[in-house]
Amino acid sequence: MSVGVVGGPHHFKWRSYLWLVASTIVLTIVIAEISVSQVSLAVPGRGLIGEIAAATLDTLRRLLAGLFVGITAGSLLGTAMGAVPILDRLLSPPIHALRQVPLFGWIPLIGLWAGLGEPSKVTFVALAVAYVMVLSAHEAIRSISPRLTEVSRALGLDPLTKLRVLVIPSVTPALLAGVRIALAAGWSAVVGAEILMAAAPGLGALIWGAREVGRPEIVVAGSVVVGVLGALSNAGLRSFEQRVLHRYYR
Amino acid sequence: MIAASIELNGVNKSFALNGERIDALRSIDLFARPGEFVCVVGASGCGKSTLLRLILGLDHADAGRVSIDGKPVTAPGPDRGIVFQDHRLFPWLTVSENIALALHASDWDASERRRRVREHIDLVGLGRFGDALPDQISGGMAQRAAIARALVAGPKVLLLDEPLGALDALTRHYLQDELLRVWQAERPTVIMVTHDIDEAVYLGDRVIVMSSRPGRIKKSIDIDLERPRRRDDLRLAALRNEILSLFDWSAIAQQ
Ligand SMILES: Nc1ncnc2c1ncn2[C@@H]1O[C@H](COP(=O)(O)OP(=O)(O)OP(=O)(O)O)[C@@H](O)[C@H]1O
Ligand SMILES: [Mg+2]
Repeated sequence: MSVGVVGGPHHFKWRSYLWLVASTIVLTIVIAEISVSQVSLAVPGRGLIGEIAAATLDTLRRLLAGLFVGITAGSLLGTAMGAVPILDRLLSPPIHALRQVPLFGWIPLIGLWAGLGEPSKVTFVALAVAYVMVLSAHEAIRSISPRLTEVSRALGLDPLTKLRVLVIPSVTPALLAGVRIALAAGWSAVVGAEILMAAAPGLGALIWGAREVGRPEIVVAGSVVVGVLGALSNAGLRSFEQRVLHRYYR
Repeated sequence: MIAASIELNGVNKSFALNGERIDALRSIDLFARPGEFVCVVGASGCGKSTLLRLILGLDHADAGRVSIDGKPVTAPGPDRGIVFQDHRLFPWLTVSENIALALHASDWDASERRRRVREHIDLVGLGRFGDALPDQISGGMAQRAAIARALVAGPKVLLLDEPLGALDALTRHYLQDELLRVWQAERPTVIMVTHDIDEAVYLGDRVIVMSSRPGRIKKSIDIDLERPRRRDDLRLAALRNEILSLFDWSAIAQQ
């Protein structure tokens, strides 16, 4: 099996991420210190760090909801398209056509359908995630070797055994690679949604709001948090891939 | 293990390819008696793999009957084992796990399964490689693992589709003798497809020559030579020449 799609999970190093995290924490504290000493707090009774932490939680909640919906829906659709050729022929052209709409071009449409509140933000994230997952799941299903499928039939494997020895090992690498890309897409979607859709608590809104009231330290700290969380989640998934699934990458 | 007879009566099989009908097999009659070693030779595309797929139950005949011990074949079953041209081991399972897969539906308990797997790993001479993954062993070893997988459930019928075709001459000779040893130990009925006529006359009790488009049985030639055979036996050379003369070279050249 090819390693190409996943970019070689074997080369991943935790140490470099450790450095990233440590330096970021220091940076954030320094920025926070400066801001606390120089500028009045945006929310009385709550420090900059508290503010960012609260915004981070809101963003994470939204991201997780969008990931859950998007990964589920995208994987199901992609699997169905990979397994049923007629579905593939029916759905592939419209899906690729819709992809021509830039991701953020969906915001006005979603706004029309679902307003600009919480559900439409989650929908937007789910959309970004789902598109990636449709492609990955499709690819994953197609990476099941017809020869091994034939062997499974020749051995008369029952569906559960077939799932265990054929389907799961075959689809997991492509699927996990998809999840990592989806995660990155989800991050930019959630932050973008918080900036472009009606104000809501969250990192994107915090950063954007800070820019408008002239508080660069919040902009910087917020952006750093977004970057670090993105890098960390990617790192977490990679190490998961590496630990649990290295057997399937061959 | 009690071997089984294989019988095909008036079997037709055609495929549609780009709107064109391809007669892969037409009017095939074949009887292999229990324990017999039958080799099948013929030009590429004459329907040899299709024949095996029908006996295995991976595919179904358009007309005619395929039966094992008189019972019609409907689907693959543990009474038949197959070795493909490529080893087709699951790359993420060890050699033992791959072989054990053929026992997943057997009545044997776990310890008996383990015993059988070990026994068959030894039978094909892979004793120390049970825990190796397929890409950690050579092509010839992987093919031997595939043979063990085909045999471990104690099939009455062993189907071989050019199992040694991809190997170098030395390994091939070695595995031919291993195959004979295994066959003599377990005595399944064997149908072996090969493009190597020397291999066919050396191994088979009988060699079936097929012609193509449509795929038919052209002739069946008994190899009435005592075993063990010698590769340099002149009678083998004579039989090989007889079989070669049956090939329709003009038809092959046209392909
Ligand atoms: N699934 C299929 N769909 C369409 N045509 C097929 C299919 N399987 C086999 N055929 C056709 O049937 C004919 C016989 O195929 P088969 O694979 O049995 O040949 P073969 O004798 O095994 O050839 P080779 O020695 O090259 O392996 C070929 O012409 C092939 O194109
Ligand atoms: Mg063939």
